[in-house]
Amino acid sequence: MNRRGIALFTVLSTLAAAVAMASEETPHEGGGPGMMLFFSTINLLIFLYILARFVMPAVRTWVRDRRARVVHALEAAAAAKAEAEKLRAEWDARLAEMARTAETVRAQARRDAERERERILEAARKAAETIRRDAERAAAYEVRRTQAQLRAELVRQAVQVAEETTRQQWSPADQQRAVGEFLKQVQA
Amino acid sequence: MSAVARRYAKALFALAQEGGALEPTATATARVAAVALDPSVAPVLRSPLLSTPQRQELAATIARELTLSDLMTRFVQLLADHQRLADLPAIHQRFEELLDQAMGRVRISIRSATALVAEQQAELLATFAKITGKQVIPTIVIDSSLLGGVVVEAEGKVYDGSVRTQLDRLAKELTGTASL
Repeated sequence: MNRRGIALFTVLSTLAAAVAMASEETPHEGGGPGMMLFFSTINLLIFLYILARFVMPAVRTWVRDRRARVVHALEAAAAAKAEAEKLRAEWDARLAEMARTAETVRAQARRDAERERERILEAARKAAETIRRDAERAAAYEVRRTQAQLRAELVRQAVQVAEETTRQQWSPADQQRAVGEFLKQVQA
Repeated sequence: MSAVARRYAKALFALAQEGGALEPTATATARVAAVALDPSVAPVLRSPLLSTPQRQELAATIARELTLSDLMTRFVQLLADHQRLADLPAIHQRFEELLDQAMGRVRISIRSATALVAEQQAELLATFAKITGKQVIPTIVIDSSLLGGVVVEAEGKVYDGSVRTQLDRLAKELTGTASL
């Protein structure tokens, strides 16, 4: 209801009340309860007219606006709620996805760790095998080297003994025989 | 032996052959080479500080002292002019090789652990004369390090019949089986 309507409503109400009071305070000749009822009815009708003409539209407008606001607020709330629900669902989905991702990552990390462990163990086994083979080879080499040294030493000593013996016991007959053998070989 | 020494020896040999003086020239080259190998003379012959006149004077002195033939005197002078006096021993060696080839001779070296009796020596010479197909001129050296047997070197080949080599071969075979 606007201000103009309220002012008009106030004036008309005051006038109607004044008419009603005047009719009650000024007794007419021949007037009775019928007239009282008539004027009261007129007053009521005027009052109702005023109400219907000026107050009700304002009240209806106010109620409609109020309803629209409430509806709008409800719709906004519903939309907000829907949005919130949607966000919640999204976040739930994200959380679930994150949990799955975390699980996948954990599983992958476990597999990687297992593979790495196997790889390290395999490398260690190979290294140990290589070391063992190298050690065996080195030991065998050392044995062969020692044997060769011993053999060389034995041969050296044998040659030395043979040299000494030859020096001491080589006779002209031996030389003659050696030259004879040499000539045979040369002529052959 | 340097190629230069070979060329000089070949030229001298050709000139000596022309003059019919191979043997005397060989003897002369041997004497000159002996002088050139002398420890007091060899460094002088090799010295690059010696001037050409000094080298010529040195060559003339050698020729005069050794009473060399004209051919040899000119040859020594030529070597002095070309700073080749130090090559005299090699030239002599090559000259002898050429002479031996021309005369159908071969020089062999015989190393023996003990002195060879005449019979052995003759047998060795006959054998190598047969092998080479040439007259053999031996150089015999007693080498006790051979322990026993002989080693003969002829025409670049070594015929080894020494006990030393047999022992070395035996030792090598024995140690060779245990090689790493």
